[in-house]
Amino acid sequence: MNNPISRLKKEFESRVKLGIMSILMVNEQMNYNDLKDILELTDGNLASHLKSLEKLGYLKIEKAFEGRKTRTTYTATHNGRQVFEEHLDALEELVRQQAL
Amino acid sequence: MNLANQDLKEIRKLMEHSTRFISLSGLAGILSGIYALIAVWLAANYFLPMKAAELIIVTALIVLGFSLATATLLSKRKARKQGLPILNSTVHLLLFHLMTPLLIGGILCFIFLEKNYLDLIAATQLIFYGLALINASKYTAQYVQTLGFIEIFIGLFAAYFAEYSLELWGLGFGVVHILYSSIVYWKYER
Repeated sequence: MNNPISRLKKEFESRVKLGIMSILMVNEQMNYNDLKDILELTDGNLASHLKSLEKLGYLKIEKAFEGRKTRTTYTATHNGRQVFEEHLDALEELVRQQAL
Repeated sequence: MNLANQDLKEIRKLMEHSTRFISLSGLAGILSGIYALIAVWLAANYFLPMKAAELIIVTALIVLGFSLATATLLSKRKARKQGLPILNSTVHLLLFHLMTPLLIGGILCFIFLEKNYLDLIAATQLIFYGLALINASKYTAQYVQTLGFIEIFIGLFAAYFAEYSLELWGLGFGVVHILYSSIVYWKYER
């Protein structure tokens, strides 16, 4: 069995990216403002993390027009879910090993 | 590797807070119970002797309106105190799942009123309110579900023993709310 540390994903060392994916795992979709509120972030900070997660293919960005405003919602992709779950498994295993 | 532990805690917290509106105020539940008991007292002493079924229904609607307003106000205040955000998406889901059974039950009550099936109105309100709570409990504190089952149970009693429907309505919306919310308040909010 390989070392769980090696199975941790580098990209989730970022608290913000970890947070975004945690929320998208349990919510079908989430809009920008709700993400910002729950993660207690400023605009620029959140946007750049979201973009890089999109580039990795972990989430999908959808823009819809609601009257005059645009509404941006985020959804985790299948790939994103899988990668996040592997990361969670590795974290849990680390904690278990520690307890032994 | 304490970091792993911290990460897991953070993940769990975010998953919980992004799917449930947990800042529900227990105090609001106690107040709703008191409104309901006042309504029962009015009904027993004034409206029933006058045989004014419409007045009773209107009073029930006023109680519902006041209760929802109190719950909204106090829950907002509680969320602010806890420093938790009120997420639009979660609140929308919560309200949608609460209001759908409640509205259907309300329409049914008006049909019963129109057809003069007055005996069934208290039971219908209790049962649909209970269903609404169970339906909405996925999006808020878990204990709301138990309260829903208690209300349905009392509602079924009220359907069978229709001669006690006013007393059972007062038990369900008044006494149970006050007792249950007090327990929640002592357990989680002090």
